Amino acid sequence: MPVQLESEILFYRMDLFQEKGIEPPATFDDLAAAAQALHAPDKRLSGIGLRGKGAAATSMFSSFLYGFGGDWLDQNKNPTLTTPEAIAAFKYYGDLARNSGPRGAENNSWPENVALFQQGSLAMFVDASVFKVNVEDPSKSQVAGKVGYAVLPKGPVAQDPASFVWGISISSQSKHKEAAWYFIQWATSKPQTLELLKRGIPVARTSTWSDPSYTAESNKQFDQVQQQSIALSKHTYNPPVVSVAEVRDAIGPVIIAAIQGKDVAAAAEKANNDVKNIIATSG
Amino acid sequence: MATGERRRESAGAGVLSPAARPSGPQPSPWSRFLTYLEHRPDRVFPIPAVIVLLLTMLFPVVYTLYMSVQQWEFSALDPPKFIGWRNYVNFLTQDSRFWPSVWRTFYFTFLAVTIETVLGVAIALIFNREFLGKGLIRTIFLFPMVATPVAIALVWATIFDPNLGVLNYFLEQLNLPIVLWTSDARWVLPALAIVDIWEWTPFITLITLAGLSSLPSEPYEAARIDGASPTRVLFDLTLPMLRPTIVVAVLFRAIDALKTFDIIQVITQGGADYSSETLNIYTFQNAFNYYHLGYASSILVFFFMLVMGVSILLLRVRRAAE
Repeated sequence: MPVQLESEILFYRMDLFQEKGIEPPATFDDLAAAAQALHAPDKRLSGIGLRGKGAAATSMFSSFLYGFGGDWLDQNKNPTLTTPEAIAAFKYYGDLARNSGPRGAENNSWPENVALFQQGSLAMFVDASVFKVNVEDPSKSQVAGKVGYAVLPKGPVAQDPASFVWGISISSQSKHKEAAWYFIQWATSKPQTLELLKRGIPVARTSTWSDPSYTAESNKQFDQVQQQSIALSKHTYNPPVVSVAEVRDAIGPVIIAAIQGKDVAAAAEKANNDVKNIIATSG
Repeated sequence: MATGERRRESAGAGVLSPAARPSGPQPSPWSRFLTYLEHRPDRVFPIPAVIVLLLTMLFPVVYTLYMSVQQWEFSALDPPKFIGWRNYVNFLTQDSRFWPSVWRTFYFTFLAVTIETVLGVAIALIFNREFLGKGLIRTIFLFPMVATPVAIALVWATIFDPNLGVLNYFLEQLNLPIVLWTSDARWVLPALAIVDIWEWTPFITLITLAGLSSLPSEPYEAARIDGASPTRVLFDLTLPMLRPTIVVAVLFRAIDALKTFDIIQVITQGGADYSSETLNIYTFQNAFNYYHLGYASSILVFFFMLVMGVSILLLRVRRAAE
């Protein structure tokens, strides 16, 4: 049963965008232009924070891959990392992180990017909507109240921000399936999810989002972005394989090569073969 | 064997405590045990220690050996399957991440232990002289060794941070080019070695100081009478006499450095792009991220032999030094 439903969204600094007279980006080109315009390393401000840390970056990269019309695998479960669409996505993502991102982006995942954004060192960052609660917490974030939210921009082919579903399942080995089911019903019930949502957890139960006691105080822009993103999303973020962790670790180096400006095609070729081997041995 | 023991027991009982001799009713097992204990404490007293050792040392090794010849995934639905040497063949011949991680393990160990030894011995020689506040400075110097490794690693991770870290701030102040300590493939292992050096140089110093305090004074008197210069005394007297001590310190450090896990896992998790993935980190990934328990065990068996090999080599050096 799904308990939490996040989407990949763009967090941006409303104050900085106003200052420069920039509109929230609608396309990948707009995104790159905005990031470049806001990038000011001498003021310790970077245009955009993207995940670069190998395996951890693959999840956020997925929306860019889909935006360029690429995918992880084809219908016959063959990896498609060397297609022109995938290469274009890797290059776009790497160039964006290298040209308008903080130094050492290839080591950043969400803890680093959220921290940088909280300290006002990033004009934008792309990550899961669950981090709203972190950037809006005035005790930890210097930019609380200045944060705008936007649906991840449209790529050359599609606008398909990845969604992230967290679920609870009952193991077939469970000795107390009844009790487990009872717990799941409680955890996904309306009163329970309402309490979670009010504390910043993007819950999966749709009706909770329109509950008057939530909407009375909620950030309308964020709610809208969350709903739109989920409506647009056609994919979840992971390659549909059994050995997800291994496959993500195999794809990670391509993203790092792209950020470091190395030979993306060669890295993609190697990753493609590695993924093929992993799928062949463990599905 | 059993009869032999009984004979000795009864003979002993005859000598030591005639009361325990069976006369009429049979003695209880407990009193027979007590008699035996009184007699052969050398056999009875080590038993608890031996049991603990077998459970904590021998059992894991044997069990790892057993797991290493299975295809064993972390799943209740997939029972382990015996596949013989295939795990070993796989990582030795097909795994593109295995050999680089072996090389990195040695590179990191060599870098860290060499510098630690030179620095540690030098600092021990300084601490061996008399100067003001010696006790206090000596105590402070031992702090890194006592601190929690994970806490140390977290602090160093912040120091290395390319955007917020203090190390690059200093480099900028000195007009030096900044270094992407933990993102740059060329720098990440030296950066991790710096942490290891900071943490473990005191260990070498400590052992060397102990060695220094046990050196005989006669050779020094002889050298002074012969008018040897301080440099000659250091290189021809102190260091050769210290050699066995230093070799022991290096041996301990090398074994530990080969197995380094905490600081690497906390600071880089093997990144960026596997450029700091040592054998230990790679095994951990295989076991607890990819859930290939059998495969990870086979790599561990290789790793175990590697560490043993290095230890034997260093012990040979030590014997040669003596």
